[in-house]
Amino acid sequence: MKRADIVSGLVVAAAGLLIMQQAATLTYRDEFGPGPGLLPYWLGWILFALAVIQVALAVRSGGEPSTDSVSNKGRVLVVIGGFVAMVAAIEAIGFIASFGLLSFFLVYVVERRSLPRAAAVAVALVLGFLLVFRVFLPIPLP
Amino acid sequence: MGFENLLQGMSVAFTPLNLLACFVGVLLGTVVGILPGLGSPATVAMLLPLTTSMNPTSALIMMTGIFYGAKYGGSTTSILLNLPGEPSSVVTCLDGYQMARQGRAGPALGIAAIASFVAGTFGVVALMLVAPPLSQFALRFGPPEYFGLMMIGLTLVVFLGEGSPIKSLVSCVIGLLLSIVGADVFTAESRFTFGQVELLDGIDLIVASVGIFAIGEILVNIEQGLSTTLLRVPKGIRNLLPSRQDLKDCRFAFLNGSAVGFFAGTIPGGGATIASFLSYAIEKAVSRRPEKFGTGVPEGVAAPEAANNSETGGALVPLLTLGLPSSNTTAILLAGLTVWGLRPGPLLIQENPDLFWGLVASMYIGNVMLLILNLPLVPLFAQIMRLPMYVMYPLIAGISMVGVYSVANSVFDLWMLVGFGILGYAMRKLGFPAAPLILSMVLGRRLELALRQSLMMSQGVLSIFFTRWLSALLIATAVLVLLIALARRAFKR
Repeated sequence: MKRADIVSGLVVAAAGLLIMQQAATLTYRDEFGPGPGLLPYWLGWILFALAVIQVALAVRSGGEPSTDSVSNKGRVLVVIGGFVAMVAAIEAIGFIASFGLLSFFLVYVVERRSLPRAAAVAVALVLGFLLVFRVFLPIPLP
Repeated sequence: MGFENLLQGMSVAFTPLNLLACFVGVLLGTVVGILPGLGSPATVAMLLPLTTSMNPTSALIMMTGIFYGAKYGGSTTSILLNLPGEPSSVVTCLDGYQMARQGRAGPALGIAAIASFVAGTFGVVALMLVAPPLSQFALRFGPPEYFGLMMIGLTLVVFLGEGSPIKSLVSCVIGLLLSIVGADVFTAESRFTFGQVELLDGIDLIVASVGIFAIGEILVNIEQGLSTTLLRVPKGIRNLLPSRQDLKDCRFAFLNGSAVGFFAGTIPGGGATIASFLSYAIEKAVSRRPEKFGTGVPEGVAAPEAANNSETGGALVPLLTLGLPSSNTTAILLAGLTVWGLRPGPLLIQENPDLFWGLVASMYIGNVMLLILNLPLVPLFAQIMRLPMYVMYPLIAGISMVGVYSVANSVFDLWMLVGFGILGYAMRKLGFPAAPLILSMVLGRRLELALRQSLMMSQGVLSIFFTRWLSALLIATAVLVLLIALARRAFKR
């Protein structure tokens, strides 16, 4: 965790600085009292300070190396890609079609099940969603 | 006020029309509670126009049934899918989902239903007995007192987080920052919206919590290769309901959650989400096994579930005695009271005893209806855990997306959902606890509002927080709680 703590600490510290810089463009104080910039400015400072402490603690202490394999992280990236593609596709082909495709993608590509099984899961889920959200609960779908 | 009044209320609530209104309300509430996003405020608002021709008592009984019924339903997906149906069910995910992963989905659902029943009944009894004096006390809360209350809420972060306290605090600050995204309430100046019009209203809590918990969970499980694992569901009805030991372990949690929830409900802005976090933190602080919290202990389900149900009774106190709403749903109910031709305010109970006592009696009946509706469904819902994970993943993703979309009918929220999913995954991998982030998102806007209103009142002088006795007491309590928590952590090491 040591390296991860240092990297995440540096990212959070950078975020703290960015927030302070953005907050500095907001009104800090106006004629009625504190303005919209007051809280984010100080929260940015606190975030930066906490991140520096985290990095310092991580540098001082020893840590265990990560046991995550690269291939597992690759699967996560593929799934994130699937979610992004689904949301991008919703406006073009609608929720039901893109949800069916995502289901098929998750079962066939990510989970490596057989083609008929993946198709069956996708069709069953789509029909289930249509039944619940179109027939029983008239809820607007994306 | 007493037994005769309750009998009078029973005679009102037991008419066929009011029984039907109560049943329809609690059933609808349970259904909308299960689905993330479509909570009780949206449902009550949607149905309000349909009740204009109903008599006020039946309409109020039905609408209130939706309000407390949704609290029952909210726990189901939290426990089974790590998918909070309501913001107040976020805390239930922490131990409820872990219980389900250990093959104890049935007992977790059973405990949630029993806690809801016990606390719901407690809330009604308390509403009946202490409504007027408590509402007068709640009136003492001005901006400095709210600030003190929010500070106490923030100190809970120390109890909620596991592992590094620095990481808990980082999560907390990130939550506070996320809460202030959007147009400023005083000046309408946009903050951290980066030109996105959709962000002007701020980030909805349900989008953040569903993303962090549900989508984040999918990503973590996929990385861990849990795809082939079927989760265990024991056979036999006896194994699907809580054991005697479970109920024994939850005795204090039922009581703690009920009391905290009711009190939080009476304070405008208190809310069920804060109540559930507060009762969980108290339960963990006084537990003999605090280190087990988050790994699937029944008390971790009982306390927040009791709190968010008891809050309903508390929230009706300022509404019915002062005409002041303390949450989104009660604000819509207040509008409803006017639509139904009533005059909300201190004289409402005096002028309409049938309405008040009929409502109180119907809530007793509604809680029994909910228990009868929910307990038999426990074995059925628990079977969901038998689904293979490769079916669960798209199922959870689909329900999350429909639920989040229903918040504001916005595709932008779906992008946010994916973003929060990635954030939730990263937080889990890097050891940053999610609960403090969600808690501070709940408190952030109110904290800032209270801070700025107080400083406006005092023309920038900080002493306003210490010259008012209640505010000073609350801030001193926050400091004391923080010191005790830090001392306990240091002592453990």
